[in-house]
Amino acid sequence: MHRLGLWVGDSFAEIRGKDFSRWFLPKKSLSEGIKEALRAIEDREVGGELVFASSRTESALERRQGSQPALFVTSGFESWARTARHSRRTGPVLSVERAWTPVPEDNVFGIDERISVDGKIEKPLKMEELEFLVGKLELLKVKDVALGFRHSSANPEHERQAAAYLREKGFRVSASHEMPSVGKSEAKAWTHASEAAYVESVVREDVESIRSALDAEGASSWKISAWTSRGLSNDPAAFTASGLRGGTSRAIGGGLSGGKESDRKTALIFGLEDFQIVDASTSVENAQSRTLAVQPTCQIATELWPFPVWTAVDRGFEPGPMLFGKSHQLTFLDVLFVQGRLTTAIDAFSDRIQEKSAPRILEALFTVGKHLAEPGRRIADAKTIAADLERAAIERIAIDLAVHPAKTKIALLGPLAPILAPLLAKRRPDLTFDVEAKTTFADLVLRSNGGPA
Amino acid sequence: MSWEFSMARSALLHALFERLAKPASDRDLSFALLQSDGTAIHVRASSPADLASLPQAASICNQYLRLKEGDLAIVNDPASGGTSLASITLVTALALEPGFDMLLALRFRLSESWGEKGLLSEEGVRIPPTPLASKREINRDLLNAIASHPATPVGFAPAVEKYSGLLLEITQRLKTIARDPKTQLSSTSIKSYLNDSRKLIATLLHRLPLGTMNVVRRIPAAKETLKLHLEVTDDKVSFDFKGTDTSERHAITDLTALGACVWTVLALLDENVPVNAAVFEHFQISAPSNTLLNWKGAIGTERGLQTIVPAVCETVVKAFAKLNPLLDVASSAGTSALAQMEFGGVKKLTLHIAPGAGATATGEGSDALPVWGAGPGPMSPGILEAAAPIELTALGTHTGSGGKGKKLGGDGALVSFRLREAGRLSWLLGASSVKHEGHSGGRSGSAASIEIVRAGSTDAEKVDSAEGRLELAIGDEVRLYGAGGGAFGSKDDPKEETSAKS
Repeated sequence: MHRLGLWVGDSFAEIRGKDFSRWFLPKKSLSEGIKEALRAIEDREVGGELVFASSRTESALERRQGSQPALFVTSGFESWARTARHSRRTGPVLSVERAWTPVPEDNVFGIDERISVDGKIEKPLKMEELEFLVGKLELLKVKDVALGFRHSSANPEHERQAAAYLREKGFRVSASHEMPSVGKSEAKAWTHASEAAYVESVVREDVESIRSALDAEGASSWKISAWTSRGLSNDPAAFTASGLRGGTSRAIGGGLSGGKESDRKTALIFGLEDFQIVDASTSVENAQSRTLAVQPTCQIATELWPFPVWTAVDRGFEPGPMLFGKSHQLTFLDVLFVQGRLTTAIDAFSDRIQEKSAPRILEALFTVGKHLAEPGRRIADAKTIAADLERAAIERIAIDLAVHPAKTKIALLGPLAPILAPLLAKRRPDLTFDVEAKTTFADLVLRSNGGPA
Repeated sequence: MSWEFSMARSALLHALFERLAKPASDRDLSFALLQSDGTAIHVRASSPADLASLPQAASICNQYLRLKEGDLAIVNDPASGGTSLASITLVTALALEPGFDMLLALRFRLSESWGEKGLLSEEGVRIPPTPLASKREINRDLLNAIASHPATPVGFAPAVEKYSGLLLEITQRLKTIARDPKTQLSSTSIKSYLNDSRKLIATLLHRLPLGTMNVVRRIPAAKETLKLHLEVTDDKVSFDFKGTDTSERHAITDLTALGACVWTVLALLDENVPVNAAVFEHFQISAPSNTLLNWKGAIGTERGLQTIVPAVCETVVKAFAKLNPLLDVASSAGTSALAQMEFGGVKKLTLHIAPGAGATATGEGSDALPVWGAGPGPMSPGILEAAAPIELTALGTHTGSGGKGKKLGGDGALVSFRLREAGRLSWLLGASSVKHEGHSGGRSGSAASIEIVRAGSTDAEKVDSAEGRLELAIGDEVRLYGAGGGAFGSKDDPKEETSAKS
């Protein structure tokens, strides 16, 4: 039986079949890339399995690419959904802004139902109330609905009834009792349901692309499996925004450990879109990942210290780093480019680099220097600033490594790993970095059987 | 090198300290890192009260106990750097290099207590600097002895164990980091970091308006008055509270007052300033010993945290706003009102009813967020219902409680619950018990309030007093409304309309 491993990111996708292929999604659709890989398998009609992992839930949330959903909650708790998004104080401030919430205030509706803490129905759900709201949602052109009814972990009956009714009416529904966080915290389950509803359309589009590509290439009989927050699953009901959330770190964790205790690893992931640290353990459920402070397309800031710092603002690939020739925002990739680090060919990335963008990047770096220079002090040249910024980035990664209870042997993965490995090895000579240059994310997707799902 | 490399190194050290403190700040705890001589290196406070007092508490513990690596000390005494007896400080030490030790301190808050007489002895057990652990082993006999005192809050021992573990974990991480020679975490680099912080804060202070200003303000919901003489020079900000009233009912320590003043200035600067000894050097406070800003002896401090701290912060804002009106904000309660439920004589639930923030000229006030107090984080209904026999009927914000105006005041919080067993409600509304003014024609926010709907009735009885106790029966419903923040600017300001048209 044939097996294809597919990795879906925000701007890049990878597939491992007979051959390996990575492509830039704004230029080639997900469906087209899968079709090409299928066409390379001559006897694909005998059947096979496509295993995929997608980070689209996380990236679409991060980059606010979803569509506005509605949220139905137990009446009396309408504003709690928003205030539960507490933006922690980062220090002395006059006004604290709350974390962004995916559901606009006007799209939160209270439902007059009640289930007690022990799961007893105290006030039954009235379907006529939902009927009335359906009309309102149609007027608002809302397609996705999140449900957050009190005590749904003790008794999900009301959420099930509401979900069945709304699904019958053609809405996509994310119910809090279906979230992996249910039972741990209502705040998290409600937030996850709202976030899932916000990006459901994006994720469903990808899942449909995968299915249509298989159908179009005579591979309708192929089984589809996905990495979910709970491990590998072939249940189509799990191929939703909430189901796929966290699946990529499980795929990396499962792929790295290969299910062997002796192979437990800490890995630094240097992908084109994300830098992460992952602790792979025997159980994929225990794979932990954390985003690093520096990201490939993160922006720099010069507000406080007279030295530029890397910020948490991640620009992504739309319009892309300056080296792609469109953007005006300096990113870490641009610094690596003018430092002459991006010389190794990286599929789907290197051919997009516009060599002529180098002067623009240097000019932007010079502007940073001009902004920082103290009166009377000579403005540094752009190359010096690039070197300082690169060093600062490596130092930030070193800090992330230092506070992480890492092992002394660390696997480096991802297309940018061979570029960053020598810089890190110089910075942390006490650690051993194993660059697994030939292991792609698509390979990791296929490598482990994934454990329980 | 394009700029002094020490600045680059210092910017990275700041990032390192922030990262190190993250496990504490993620849990809304206060954290401080300092040299064993008491020089603060990094302070990440969760409230104004902790900003200056936490490093001092750590320093005092070390002076008395000469802490070694693996030791832990505990303290909450306001005479030794504490703020109130509900705020527990843990301190440990780390030998960074021969002859250069560091102290790490963590502060967490337990369920607050306050008494009718306003005495410290009614607010809990007073713990002077006390050795709690040696070689990372907690003295459980001692811990249990404190925990068994009737005035000790429920959950004391588990919280001490939990946060001791966290502090020792952070210390271990720092030790690992220090082993990496390229991090250059040494006495020399820290000295350089403090020097660079000094330059940085000096530059930032230039943004403040220069001059002197006198402000007299009545403490909201109290009889006393604060008198502030503010003086801002090129490199120093002085706060002189001479003439401020005394009180036999509430007080805060001078370090709490200093923290409130410095916090407010940093908030006005609106930058993620590294808080350390170099920053404190630029601030000076005079809180005469006979005033309510210089706690002594037997008076309780919990009411002071609820009422005096926000009043100090707002007085500082008003003084700066008189020098530069652009810095002004509408008023807010600043700290949460407190409500507690006892069942069978055991305190089972403490609720922080957050006020809305005052609006500014450019932004609306945030809903249900205490600007000048410690935020316990968002309330989770499941946790509240698991802690006590109650059933929540509403949780969120009290819509419309924020002042109306061009920029709306933030709405206060709303918590409503029905009792599944008979119990006793106590409350301390503090600064939230009065309306907080709007600014430039903006309306005031509403005061915090409490309503009781008795079982079988639909009528809500309003509770009038700012603090008190009430016996409740099974089925009674309690509705707690947080204070709204004041609005900024009038919605119908003709001047605004004219300028918009032109």
